Amino acid sequence: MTRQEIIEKTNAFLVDEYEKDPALLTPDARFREDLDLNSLDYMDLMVTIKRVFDIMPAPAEMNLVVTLGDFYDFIERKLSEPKANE
Amino acid sequence: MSDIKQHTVCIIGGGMSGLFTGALLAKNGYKVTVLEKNHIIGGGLQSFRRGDVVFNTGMQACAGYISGMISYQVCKYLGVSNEIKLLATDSQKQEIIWLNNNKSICLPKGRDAYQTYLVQLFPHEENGIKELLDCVFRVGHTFDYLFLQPIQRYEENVPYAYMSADELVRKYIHDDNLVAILEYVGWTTGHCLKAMPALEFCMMLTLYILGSHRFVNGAKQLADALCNVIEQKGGIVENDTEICEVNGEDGNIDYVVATDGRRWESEIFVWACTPKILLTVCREQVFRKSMTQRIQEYINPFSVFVVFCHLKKEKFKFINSSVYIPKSSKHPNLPQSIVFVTTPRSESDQWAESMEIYIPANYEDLAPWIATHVGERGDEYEIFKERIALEAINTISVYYPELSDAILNINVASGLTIRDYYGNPNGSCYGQQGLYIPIKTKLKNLYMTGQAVQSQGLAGIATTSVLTSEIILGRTLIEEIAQA
Ligand SMILES: Cc1cc2nc3c(=O)[nH]c(=O)nc-3n(C[C@H](O)[C@H](O)[C@H](O)COP(=O)(O)OP(=O)(O)OC[C@H]3O[C@@H](n4cnc5c(N)ncnc54)[C@H](O)[C@@H]3O)c2cc1C
Repeated sequence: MTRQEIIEKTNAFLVDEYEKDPALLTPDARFREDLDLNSLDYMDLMVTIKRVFDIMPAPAEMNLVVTLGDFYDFIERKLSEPKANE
Repeated sequence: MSDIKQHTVCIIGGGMSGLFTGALLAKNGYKVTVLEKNHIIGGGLQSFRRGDVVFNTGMQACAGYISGMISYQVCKYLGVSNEIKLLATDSQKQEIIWLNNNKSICLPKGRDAYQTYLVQLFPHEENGIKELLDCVFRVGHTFDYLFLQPIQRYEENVPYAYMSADELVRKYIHDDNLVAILEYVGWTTGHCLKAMPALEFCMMLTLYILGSHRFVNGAKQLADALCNVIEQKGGIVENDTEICEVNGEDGNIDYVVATDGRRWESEIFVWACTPKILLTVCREQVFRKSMTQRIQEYINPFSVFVVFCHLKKEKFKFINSSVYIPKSSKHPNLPQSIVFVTTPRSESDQWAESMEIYIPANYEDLAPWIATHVGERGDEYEIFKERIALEAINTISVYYPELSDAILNINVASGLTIRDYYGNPNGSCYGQQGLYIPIKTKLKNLYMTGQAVQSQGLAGIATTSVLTSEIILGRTLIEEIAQA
């Protein structure tokens, strides 16, 4: 998956499923302060990430994600890692 | 005084959460109506009698019913703590876990005693046991409200919601035998450790180690006491009222409709049953899509067969513990044990007169009868259930040989009974608990309560009922409750 595809997919679910305003979805938008997604929302986010990207981040990894840009980086990195069971 | 218009609230579901929320709101001046689909209120608090013997259909053990903790204080605040009779579980052996080699593990109450006991059994795991319990208690205590603290640390625990209990335990414990013993905690939320979020594991284990109680003569007494609070404040609790439509427009609920056509209007509505049912009866969008998706994709806790055994007089000793008997299951997601309890009838029982046996089950095994309803499942279903019950009784008799002779008669409920009585999807014994759904919905006057908001059991439900009531009242209650 290219970075552009990651961005498109992420923004699509944030607009469609989390009802976020597309105008807010800039790389420096912060999950908590700007997108109003608190840590309880992370539970939904985990399920969405698994469904959309087929990866299950460890809790500690997600704690390092502050902005949307961090999130794109994180997904890009995870997708390039070999899968544990392969 | 009568000039002041009372706010009205209509609560759908007369289980523990509907009744606790109703009682809290009634005490705080609301005109409460609780609508319950069954003939008898209580949901998981239901118990029934055969002669003078009581059987619990759901709740047995209440963890964390201790002075200074939420469930105890809420009962005190509502004035019901003196009306309900609970018996503290044997502090030396709250849980008795039998192993395949015919030895038993007896887990004591209290953090120090519990830790010391496990370290004695597994000295090579001493550090791991200490570190695991440190973590369990640290995370358990982030449920601020359980300990009557203002919410401060709650969000810290969220990472543990998407880590499995198995992963957490194996971080500290390497001996498979000890991991297998800790599987018993999974029974408290109806998951094997691999499917149980570490967060629930920590909360439940903390509560159980702090101490558990059981209702003397059945759990229904709590439902009745809460119902009295509601009715004394002018509220109504309607049985035989199954809500099949939740109607409104412009982001507001106007009225709900029962299967017999009756309808109820109210300023505020509270949904106190399984969220999945709400999605089917409400045409409006209740949650944002991601939440709806999570409700739909939720992995249900396992289902159970419950065997209600009426025992002959003075034939089987009363055991003031939950007893776990090893039983291998071909399903990897089911616990490899069955559980039984003898119901206390007084505070000083010598002999048991009733026993409930819980056998983990896979809903799919009930496939031939999934489309049927209570009373019309046919003889083969009865034979199937009886076979499962007899197998379980034989398994327990290996450890308690006096059981076979002590049984007067049995009744067996399956996951289908649980599905049809509580509305739990797939007959799962704990419904959609631990979903962490928001209390406020997208509809302005519709709120959620119950085990899906946080967790199940007396402590989990007392917490969510307080949280829901506080949001509706627009002020905190926790300080008053702490001082009750
Ligand atoms: C077999 C079994 C054993 C259990 N053992 C324990 C235990 O030992 N310890 C423990 O802590 N917990 C135990 N539990 C769990 C505990 O009983 C539940 O956590 C608790 O009762 C949940 O309360 P609730 O109000 O959220 O849901 P429920 O008690 O399920 O109440 C929901 C109510 O809503 C009603 N309802 C459903 N649909 C509708 C509708 N459309 N209209 C109107 N009413 C409706 C139902 O009939 C029910 O009365 C057990 C549960 C089961 C089933």
